[in-house]
Amino acid sequence: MAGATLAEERSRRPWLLLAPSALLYAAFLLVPLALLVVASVTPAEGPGRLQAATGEYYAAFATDGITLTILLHTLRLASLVTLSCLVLGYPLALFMRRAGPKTRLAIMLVVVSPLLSSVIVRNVAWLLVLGREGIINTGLQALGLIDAPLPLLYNTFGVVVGVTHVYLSFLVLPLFASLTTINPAAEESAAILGASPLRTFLYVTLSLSPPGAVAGATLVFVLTMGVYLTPVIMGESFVTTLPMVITDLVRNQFEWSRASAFAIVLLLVVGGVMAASGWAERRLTT
Amino acid sequence: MPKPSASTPLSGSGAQAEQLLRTEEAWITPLWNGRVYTLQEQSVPVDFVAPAEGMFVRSDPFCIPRGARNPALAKKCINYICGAPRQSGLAQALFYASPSRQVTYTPETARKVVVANQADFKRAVPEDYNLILDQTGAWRRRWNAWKVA
Repeated sequence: MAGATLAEERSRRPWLLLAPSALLYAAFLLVPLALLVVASVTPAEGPGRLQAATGEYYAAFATDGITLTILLHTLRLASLVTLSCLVLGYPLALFMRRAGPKTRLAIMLVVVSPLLSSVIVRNVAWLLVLGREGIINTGLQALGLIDAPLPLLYNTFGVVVGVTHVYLSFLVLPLFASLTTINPAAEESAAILGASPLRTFLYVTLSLSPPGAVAGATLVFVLTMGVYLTPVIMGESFVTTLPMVITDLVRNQFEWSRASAFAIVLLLVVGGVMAASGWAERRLTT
Repeated sequence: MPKPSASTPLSGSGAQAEQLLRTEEAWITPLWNGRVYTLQEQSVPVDFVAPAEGMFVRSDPFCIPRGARNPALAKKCINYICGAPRQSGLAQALFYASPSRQVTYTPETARKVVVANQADFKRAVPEDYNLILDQTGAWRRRWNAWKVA
C-alpha cells in the first residue's frame, strides 16, 4: 500500500514541476489570448454589443483596401530580414564551427551583443551611422565617391539593417548548433575521395545543415513579423508594418475590437509559417 | 530623398519631425511654428504656411486635477509661468507667442511670434473632436494607403 502511494507520488512529481510555469502561461498568455478572441468579435459600440458577435473586423482586414497590403509589406520585410540573416549568418556559423574555442567565444559574444543592449540605444546608434549626415554618407562624400547622400535610413533598407543586426543571433546560434552535429569524417571522406572543397561544401556540409537553417530562419521570420520599435525608429513614417497599425489602433484610435481581430490574423499567419517550417524540418530530417 | 517626403502626422513634441526637416529627409510636415523658427535660426531653408482653407488655433491649457493635494501651490506655479517675464522669455527663446496682452516683445521677436491678426483668427477652424474621433480611423487608413502606394 505504502509502495503504491510512493509510486503515485513519483508519477505526480513531474506535473508539480510543471505547475508554476503552466499557471504562468495560463494566467498571462492563454487567458489574455481568449480575451483577445472575444474582443475581436465584439462590436465596438451599440446596445447589447457583448451578445452580438460580429466578424466585421476580420472582413475589414481583407476589404478595407489597405490592411491586406500592409500585411504583404510586413511579409516582404520579414522575408528580406530572413534572407539577409541567412546570407550573413551562414558563413559566420561555418567560420565559428571551424574556429578555435577562443575565437568562437569572441564571435559568439559579438553576435549576441545586440541582445544585451537597449533597443533605443542600438537604433539611435544606427541613425548616426546611416543618416544623411551619418558616418557612411559623410565618409563617402568626403572620399568623393558620391555627390548626394544615399537614402540609407527611413526606408525598408534601414529597417532591414536594424532588424538584421539584432536578429542575426537567432539564426547563427541554431545554425551553428546544427553544423556542429555534422560528423567531420563525412567531409574528410569526401575530400579523400577527390571532391574539391566547394563540392564537399555543397554536397556534404550544405546538404546536412538545413534543419538548423530552417529553425533559425523561422525564428527570425516570426520575430520580424512582430517587431515594432525598430521599424518605428529606423523607418519613421516611411515604413508601415502590421504591428505598427495594430499599435496605432489601440493607442490613438481606441479601436480595441479591430486591433484584436488584426492581432489574431497576424497570430494565425505566424502560426501558419511555424507549421510550414515544422513540416519542412520533418521532411529534411527523415 | 526617400519617397514619400512628407513626414508623420504631428504627434508628441515634434522633435522627430524637426530632425527630418533638418536632414532634408522630409520636405513637408505639420510642425509647431516655434520649431520652424528654431530651424530657421540654424539656417535650414524652411518656412511654415497656414492653408488657404483655414487653420486650427490651439491653446495649451494648464489643468489642476480634482482632488489635487496642493491646488494653491499649483495655481501659484501657473501664475508664475503665465507671468509676463516668463512668457516674454518663452517668446524670445522658443518663438511662441503668449495669449497675455501684458506681454511685450522686441520688434525682432514680434515679427516671428505674432503670426496672425484678428482677421486671420476669423479664418480659424474650430477643432471638432466629435468629427475627429469619428473620422480618425478613415483618415489613418487613407494616410497608410498613400504611404504604401
